[in-house]
Amino acid sequence: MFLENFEREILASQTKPLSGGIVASNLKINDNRTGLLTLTGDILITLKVLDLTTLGAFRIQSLMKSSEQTIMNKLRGGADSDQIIFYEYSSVKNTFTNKQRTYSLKYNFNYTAKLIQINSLSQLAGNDFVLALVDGIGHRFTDMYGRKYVSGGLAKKNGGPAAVIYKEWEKNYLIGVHEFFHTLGLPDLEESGMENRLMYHLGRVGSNITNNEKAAMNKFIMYDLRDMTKGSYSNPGYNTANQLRTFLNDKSNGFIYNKAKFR
Amino acid sequence: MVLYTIKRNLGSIIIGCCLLACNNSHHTNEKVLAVKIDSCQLSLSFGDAVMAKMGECRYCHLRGDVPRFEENVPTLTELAAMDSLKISNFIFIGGHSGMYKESSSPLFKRKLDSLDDCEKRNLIHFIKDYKRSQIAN
Repeated sequence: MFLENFEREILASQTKPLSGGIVASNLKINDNRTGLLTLTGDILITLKVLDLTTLGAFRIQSLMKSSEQTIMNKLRGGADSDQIIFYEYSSVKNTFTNKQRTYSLKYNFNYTAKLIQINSLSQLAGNDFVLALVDGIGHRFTDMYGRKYVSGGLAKKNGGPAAVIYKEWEKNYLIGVHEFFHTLGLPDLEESGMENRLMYHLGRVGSNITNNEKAAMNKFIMYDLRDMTKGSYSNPGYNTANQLRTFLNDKSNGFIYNKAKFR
Repeated sequence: MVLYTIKRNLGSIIIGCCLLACNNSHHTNEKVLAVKIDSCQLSLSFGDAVMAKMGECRYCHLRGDVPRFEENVPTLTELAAMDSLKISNFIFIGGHSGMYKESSSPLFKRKLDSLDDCEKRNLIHFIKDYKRSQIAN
């Protein structure tokens, strides 16, 4: 009986459409046989937006639209990775062998981004990405030169939740994109001369993304190259709702938000 | 009265001589300290770029929250839990020896040799970040 149920569950999960922050389909590897692998496929990035502000986020729809467009534009257009040492790809068997090989890698995914407003934690799956809108952030940080700054947004890197002060997001929607790109693995930039970059975070945010940053995000999205051979893929669970709860309750982050909305 | 004035003047002269002697001794003992200025700035973005330049370690050393690549390949979180010296030994001395087959080994060695001290420190700084709070502004 137990085995039958287990079997049924497995069958059901196999027919269930993929969901989560990253959903990829039509994945293909093209080997040009001179050491260049081109990765193609359709990837949908979904970011769920949870309004935790006291007064409400009246411009949320237009801000979500602008952010969606920017996320899509920044990810699109392909990216070249540095030469990598990995396993040899066999295009005949569509598998990676045990033999080592040096490759150049080209990411050429067709990206679509979708921002969805949610009203409760029950709408968050374990492998979703989330951006919370809050009233304030008490967290202060010190840059590499020893100067102190207030935070307009905060994120837990590499798949974790992101949060932005709604008033700041209203002033500049790119702050939300900046925070989400931390979720996709990008670090902050502080060096002088980088003020026009999206990941710059000392008092202003630029809009530029470099090829290396694009490659790093592609690397985060398709973190295990062997998944490319499966044809379709969705990201593993990050335990998003629990991570968000811990993130918001962490006193050192100093979030100010409407706790009644966090349900 | 005259005697008292002479005594006071002599006292002043003696104190003055002592102060002068102290000052002189200070000057003779003065040392010139050569301070070596460390111009290497640690930054996560630089460490990230070094990792990409090295051949992107993250294709095999996956993050700690996803299934590991292979049983004997440590995740980035496991590497980050080591102290800096151990990480350095792992990368630059022993950890990878024998892991790369003949075809890839020269390239990897070339990449390792091309790193300067500051790049190595930034690479380790970036790896160590996987064990920190991971909070970014």
